[in-house]
Amino acid sequence: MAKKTDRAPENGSRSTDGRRFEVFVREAEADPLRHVGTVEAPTPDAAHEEAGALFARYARDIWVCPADETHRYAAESLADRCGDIGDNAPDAGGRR
Amino acid sequence: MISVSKLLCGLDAESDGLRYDAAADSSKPQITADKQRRPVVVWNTTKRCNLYCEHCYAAADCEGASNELSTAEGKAIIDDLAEFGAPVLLFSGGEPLVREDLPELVAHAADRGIRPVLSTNGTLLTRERARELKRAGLQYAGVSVDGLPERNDRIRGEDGAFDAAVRGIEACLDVGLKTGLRYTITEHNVADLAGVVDLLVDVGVDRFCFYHLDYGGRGADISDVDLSPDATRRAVSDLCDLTREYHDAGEEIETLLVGNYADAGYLVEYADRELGTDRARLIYRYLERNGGDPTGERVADVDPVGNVHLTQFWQGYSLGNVRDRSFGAIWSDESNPLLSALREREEHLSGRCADCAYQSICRGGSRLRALAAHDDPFAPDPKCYLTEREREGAAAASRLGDESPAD
Repeated sequence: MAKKTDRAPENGSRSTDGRRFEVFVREAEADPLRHVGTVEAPTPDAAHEEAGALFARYARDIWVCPADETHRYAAESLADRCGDIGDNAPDAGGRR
Repeated sequence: MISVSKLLCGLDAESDGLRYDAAADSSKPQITADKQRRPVVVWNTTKRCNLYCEHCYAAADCEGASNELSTAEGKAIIDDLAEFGAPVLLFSGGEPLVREDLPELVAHAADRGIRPVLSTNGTLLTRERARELKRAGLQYAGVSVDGLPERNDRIRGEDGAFDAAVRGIEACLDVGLKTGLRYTITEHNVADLAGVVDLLVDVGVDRFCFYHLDYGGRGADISDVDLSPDATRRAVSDLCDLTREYHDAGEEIETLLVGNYADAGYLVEYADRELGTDRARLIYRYLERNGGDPTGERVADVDPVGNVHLTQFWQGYSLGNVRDRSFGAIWSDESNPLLSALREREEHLSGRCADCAYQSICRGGSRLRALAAHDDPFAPDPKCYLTEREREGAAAASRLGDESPAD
């Protein structure tokens, strides 16, 4: 079973500026939703508008979800690959 | 990126070597088969910056972003990029020199066989830091200057920024670190372009990279001061003339244009007019191999918190995050319909780009500007400055004969 790699809420932001939303699209009614990335937007409606400009031509359904509300579980993450390198503090480099 | 000096004056372009290890042989196209498939990666190492430039695509400020990638995460990403075969890593920002671990990251990239280069505002570049970065393996530092002192300091939000940037350039030159200018052209500074070249040639700079404004970050907020098509045409024509004048005088400066592949068509037209049909035909073939606008193909961006973008300017949309899966996995995932369509964009371009005579050397120009102007990433680039007659191609065909761009 995949292990949880989600970071603590206080340092898990996926945005450099404002809010980001995960975007999911379904191309045909029988298809599963597919994750296609994130958009930067202040509200869900604005995120839907941004995503629609990029994906409406390919999708009948577009879902958006606040990136900071997404709990991610995966077999491996960048944090796992840092194991041999040393310091893994989230702000060790960029916030000095 | 289009090397004006190489195309018009036959100079070996340093950018070839910076990206493709091909500088030693000027007869080679800028992009060759295998390496073309892997992107130059821009890494915005931090959102923090000591300046506040009006056109900053990264919307950098003095605060930075929370949760920026750590030193260890940065090294892990560099390992991913090396495994994927990225030829060049451009350390950018914000201002990358605010990260104290920059030399360590540069050294890690060099150790992994990726050519490390730097984009900086230059104001924090002392001789000691330039020497440290060179020792770490840095190959090139591009320093942003956007006008003569008064205009530059207004655009970059800091009195004294011009003088500090020139001191940074001199520090690089003093320690033997290759350096050059980065200049984003708008109505606010187009008048200073030639003056900045003249001044920096005297300092010792020989590489000048001019960016058209793209509509990302704060760049989108000032699209009203972007040059009109006619003004862009004059600016590019003036740059071509300036480049040739320098070369005619024995000063082999390198000049490059970035961010608007209408430049490709314009250079063919310019060469046909000024240098003759044979040269225009050679330039066309060269640009055709170059591949046109690189969005989603030959350039990629990783932002300070790990989001992967189609270009550094297109921060509003991300394909995925390197904290979740490797860069190579994200970049190769063509189940993403937008990424897939961008890689076969000729089939999707609409309006005047769909049947343009120069489509094969431009590929529609900036898809981000198209999105910003038309809410459609495959609509025409609003900054195309070719005339209708040039786009139609009949005139070029009549001059260039059977091997014309319209073929």
